[in-house]
Order: sequence, then structure tokens, then C-alpha cells
Amino acid sequence: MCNAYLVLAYTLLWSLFALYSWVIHRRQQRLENELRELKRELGGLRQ
Amino acid sequence: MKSFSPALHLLVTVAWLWAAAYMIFFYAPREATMGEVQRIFYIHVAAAWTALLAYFLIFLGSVAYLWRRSAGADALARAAGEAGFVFCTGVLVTGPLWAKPVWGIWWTWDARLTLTFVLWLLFAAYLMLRSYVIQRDRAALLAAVVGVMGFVDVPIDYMAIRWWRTQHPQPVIAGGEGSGLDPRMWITLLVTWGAFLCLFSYLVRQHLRLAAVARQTSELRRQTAGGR
Repeated sequence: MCNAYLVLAYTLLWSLFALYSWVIHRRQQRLENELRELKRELGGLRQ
Repeated sequence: MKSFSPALHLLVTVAWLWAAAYMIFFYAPREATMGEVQRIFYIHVAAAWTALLAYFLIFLGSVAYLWRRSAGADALARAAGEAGFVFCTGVLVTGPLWAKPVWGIWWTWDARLTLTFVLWLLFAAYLMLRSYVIQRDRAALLAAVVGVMGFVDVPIDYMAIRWWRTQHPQPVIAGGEGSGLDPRMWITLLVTWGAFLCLFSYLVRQHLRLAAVARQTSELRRQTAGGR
């Protein structure tokens, strides 16, 4: 029974870390795409 | 000095976490009274120390912001706040999972547990302020005030098990006579904390990068809107 608590504790903690890393990565990707899009748009406006 | 790339930082972090996991399960001895479940100790304590350090960084960043209105210090405080919140959540998740088989209860409102819960609420309040106050300077100012005032909780939380008799175990580190850890447990704990610090620094670094891209994006948005 005790081992179930151990497994659950490790699983939840690693999942939490993985989830937050993924969230940051997604936010970064979304912003970088928007940045690229805006640069293209701004380039078009200047021409 | 050239800083090492985020990809390499991530690789080192993952390798270090694997090494820590190996030491926890194959190197550290089995604790005589609690048995296997005591191995939660390594991640629980390492996450708690990292969360306390994160709040200390919020405090430093907030003081620097209030003093000099430094945008970099504010960005550091915010990054430490988000990553610290994750680690503090980890403490509150792993704690009850260790408490239940050992104490027979998931939770009790003793000094240490309550103060750690207050720390989690402070992280949450700090982040909510950042999200809900629209004006950036005002959000930074209010968050800095919360960051400085909330820091009072950190030393009290750390000292709680030394000052009061609590359900939480008495300190095994710097806890005076009769306290202590097996040297292999000590090494394992330090390796695990090192791995968590490496992960924490990676997350803070990524968050700072994210903030830089966000600033660039909002600047370009302004330029694009002005150019139309």
C-alpha cells in the first residue's frame, strides 16, 4: 500500500513539472509565431 | 562568457533528474521505520527548499523594482513566481501523500503545514495580481509590494518546526543534537536539490525569454497599428 503513495507522489510531481514546461514552450511558440507574423505585416506596410 | 544554450540546459536538467531518481531508488538506504514511502522525502524537501528560494528571488526582484523601477528585476521576480508556484504546489501534493501512510491523516493545520499553505497562497496572489491588473506598471508595483510583504512568511515557515512542537517531523538538517541523516541520504538529497535547482533555473530562463518575446511582440503590435 505504501508503494502506491510513493508511485503517486513521483508521478504527480514529474507530471506537474512536465506540464509547466510544456505550457511555457507552447506560450513561447505562440508568441514567436505572432512575432514573425507581425514582422511580415510591418515589412509589407513599409513597402 | 557565452551562456550555454537552452537545449543543453534542458539536456543537463533531464540527465540530472535521472541521476537523482537513480540515487533515490537504488543508492539511498531504506528507512527503518517508514520503509519505502520515506523516499518521498527527497523530492518533498528539495521542492520545499526550491520554493523558499523562489520566494526569496521574488523578494529580491521586488525590492530592486521598488528601489530602481528595474524592468529586469521585475521580470526575474515574475519568472521566479511562476516556477516557485509549481514547486510549492509540488510540496503540497507530495506532503499529504507522505503523511497519510505515516501519520494516518492527509493534512493537519499545524504551524509548518499552515505556513506552507500560506506560502502557496502568496505565490497564487502574486501571480493573480500580475494577470488581473491590466496596466503593466501598476501590476508590477502592486506585485512588488505583495512580494516584499509576503516574504515575512518565508523565515517563519522555515523556522516553524524549530520554534513550535508540530505534527511535521522535527528538522533533520541543522536541527541540533539527536538529529541527522545517513550520509547516503544526505548525498541523495543534495543531488536531488541540485537537479531541482537546475530545472528551476531552466524554467526561469525560459520564462525570461518568453517575457522578452512578449515585449518585442507588443512593441511591433504598436508599430503595426500606427502604420495602418
